[in-house]
Amino acid sequence: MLDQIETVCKDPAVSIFNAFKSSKLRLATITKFLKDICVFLKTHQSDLAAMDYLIKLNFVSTETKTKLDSHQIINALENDSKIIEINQNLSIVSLDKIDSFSNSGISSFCLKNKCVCVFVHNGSDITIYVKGVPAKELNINYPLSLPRVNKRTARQSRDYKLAIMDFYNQRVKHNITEHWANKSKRILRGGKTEDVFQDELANWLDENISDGLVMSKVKKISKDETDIEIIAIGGNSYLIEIKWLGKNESNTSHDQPKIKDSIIQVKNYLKTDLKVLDSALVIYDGRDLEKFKQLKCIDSETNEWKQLKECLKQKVPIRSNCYVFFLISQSASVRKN
Amino acid sequence: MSPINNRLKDVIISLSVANFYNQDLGRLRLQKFIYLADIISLYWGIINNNRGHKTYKNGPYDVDIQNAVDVLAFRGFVSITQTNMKEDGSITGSYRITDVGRQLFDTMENNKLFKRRISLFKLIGVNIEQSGWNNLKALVYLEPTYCFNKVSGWGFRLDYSSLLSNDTLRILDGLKKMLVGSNDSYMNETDFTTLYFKLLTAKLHA
Repeated sequence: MLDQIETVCKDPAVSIFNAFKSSKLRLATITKFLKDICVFLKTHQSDLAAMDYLIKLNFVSTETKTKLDSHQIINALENDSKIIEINQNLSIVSLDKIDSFSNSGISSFCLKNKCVCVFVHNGSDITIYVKGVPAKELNINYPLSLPRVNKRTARQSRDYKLAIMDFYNQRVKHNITEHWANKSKRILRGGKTEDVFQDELANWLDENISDGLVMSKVKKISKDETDIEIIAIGGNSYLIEIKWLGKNESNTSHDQPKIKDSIIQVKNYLKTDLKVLDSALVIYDGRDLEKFKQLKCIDSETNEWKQLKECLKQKVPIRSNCYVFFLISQSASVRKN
Repeated sequence: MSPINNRLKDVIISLSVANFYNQDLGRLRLQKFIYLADIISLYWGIINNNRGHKTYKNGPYDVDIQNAVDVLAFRGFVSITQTNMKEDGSITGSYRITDVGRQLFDTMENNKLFKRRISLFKLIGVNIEQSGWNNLKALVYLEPTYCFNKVSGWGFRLDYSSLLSNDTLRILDGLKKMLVGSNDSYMNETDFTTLYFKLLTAKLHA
């Protein structure tokens, strides 16, 4: 019986009723309002796809002029209005904007406005916030499923450099990318060695960047083709250029001058594309550890990665960052440092 | 008013409400529908002089309800549909309000005396509709008073006319105090009934 009581206490309608006890809100009304929203979302799921938006609940308004429908939501999102305030008649009361859909962003909006909000994400997952507190997470198709778990490696576009670090730590470091042709002799896979890293990194970013569009091998007006580009919601774009050092099984080899050439290449990209906010030159180093150690850097993680400010007197441009990641070939038990 | 006369009203109202949702009620579902209303009728200020339900093999059972529906069927206020004889010799059937019964209900609806009782049964109907009519049995089996007392065996009288013996009302009263804030605060009947069904449905799909 206690678990039944606990379930009632955790019911979102009960939480709302409790939070607004002084406003004479009816429990039956709240229950119906929440149910109507779920039915609406379920009915319009295919139209609204995986859009993210926030529904603010207005319990006072009796407006019936603009009925909530898929078109109204898409129109609002097109105008960057991601907060849609609706009343019990499922009519739109007002539209508003929000900077970020982070938990803290939604929470503080909801707390500031002392209101109830339903955050719709991925089209079918909803989180109900009551005066800033997340009261219930559920999937409208499978209400009994457990709450969605935040992905450990999920990042926002702005933190794409951290996503590149994650990729190295989770994948490259452990050779999940299968970049070695001969691990003991430190020979990388042949053919298009660059593609080995590029395809895997593009997939990683696509899966882990939550608020942006990841594109690989981007061709623009010129004939140049950038490796990866991330376009964040709001328009900021980030460019990633990938290179490798060492020797591959096709007998191609690259050394330090490749870094210098790549910096120049990125510089040229930035000159052409003025809308790129930031960029990263990502170099995977398959040379010996001694050669990696010789690289001068401004930041580093011992024998794993280095951030360079310049290479062979070629400075990394302002809107760019140069990272060299050492490709580890020895197992942890053999490595001395 | 005798217990059976009291149940005549309950049967007419229950079958009219069920009919609104295009539902016929079988013998057991009729018992259960009225039982769900009986449990919180005290909060609605409806004092019944029923002898009440007893624990029985298929949930709470009140013989007066069965007698009342038989009387109403004999008099033409209720029709019996889908009759069937089971292998063990027991007869199953569903009850539906007839046009004459419907007229009787309309008369009752216009009488202030029955207003609260009809409102309660209608709200029970709304909530069962939301939970699904096929869950009516499950809802009653999750009702605390029945839950706690069914272990006493068949024939145990369920006394829901007192806070001391009505476990659902005790639990809901505690929840109400927690939600509304103080001991004296009032929660209207509609909200109280919604809370009641939240309690019953809490474990329904678990």
